[in-house]
Amino acid sequence: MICPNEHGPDKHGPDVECPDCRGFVAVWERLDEFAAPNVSPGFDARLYARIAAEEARRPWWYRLLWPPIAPVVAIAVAAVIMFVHVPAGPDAAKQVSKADIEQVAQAVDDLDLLIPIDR
Amino acid sequence: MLRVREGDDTSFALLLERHRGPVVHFLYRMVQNQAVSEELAQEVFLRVYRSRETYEPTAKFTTWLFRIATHVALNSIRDRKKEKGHESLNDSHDEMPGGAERQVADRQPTIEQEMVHEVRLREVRQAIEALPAKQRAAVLMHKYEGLDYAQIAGVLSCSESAIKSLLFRAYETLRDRLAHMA
Repeated sequence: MICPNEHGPDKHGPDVECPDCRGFVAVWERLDEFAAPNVSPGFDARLYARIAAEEARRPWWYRLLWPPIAPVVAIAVAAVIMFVHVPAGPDAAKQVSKADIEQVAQAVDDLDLLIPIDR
Repeated sequence: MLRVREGDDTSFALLLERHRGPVVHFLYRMVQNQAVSEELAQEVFLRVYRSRETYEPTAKFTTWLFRIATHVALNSIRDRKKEKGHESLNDSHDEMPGGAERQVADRQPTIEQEMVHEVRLREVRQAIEALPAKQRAAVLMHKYEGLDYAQIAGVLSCSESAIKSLLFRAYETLRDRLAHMA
């Protein structure tokens, strides 16, 4: 790849035959001289301090939306909503039952009226 | 990273342990200043931490991490160019030798050897610094961090063939600039 002949300096040992590769191997070796310094010992501590400071700045409700506990919060909210609406349930059921009874009674009355006509 | 997303702080510590060195070293070679590179690396890991909730493993983690690092480095280089015009970061020459762990033989180098080494090192640094930012990032990821073409392509949002061509041009430029050192 690096070489036009599709060779790479990282794929070669010191006995490189391709002249283009030889040039690139020389560059590769020169670049080895550019060492990087060790990371400062306090790097992690500084990072964790910044993370802690950032967490502390977050509003309380944001933590409730944090994915790992979000389902628990959602279930709790759903339970509260259901609890609030449950008292309305029996009344509604009663209303439906009453309507059903009235409807059946009306049907029976209609049937009573129709029977004499058939006779 | 997926475990970090689930709130596992130990996994974040492991992730930091594994990637701290490569990220700081990459950034150091990009901006050629230890204090700045560590500050930028802090920014990278903070962004990783902030993104943990929304992280989706669409690419290899290293690719994603170096994409953030490259973005941060390129922004920093651009901002510094704006601030300081064309002032070279290499002018802060006193910063490098003490900070870098130099690989030397067991025997003590002579003053002459030391000076030769300093000159060669400065030339390598200047040659790298003179590369266009994208070429520089590609070379540093390829040469020092061992990323393959697909990963570098992912980081720089290019095709693999574009990366191969980019790297070829970059190494050719370096070969020309460093030819006298051979």
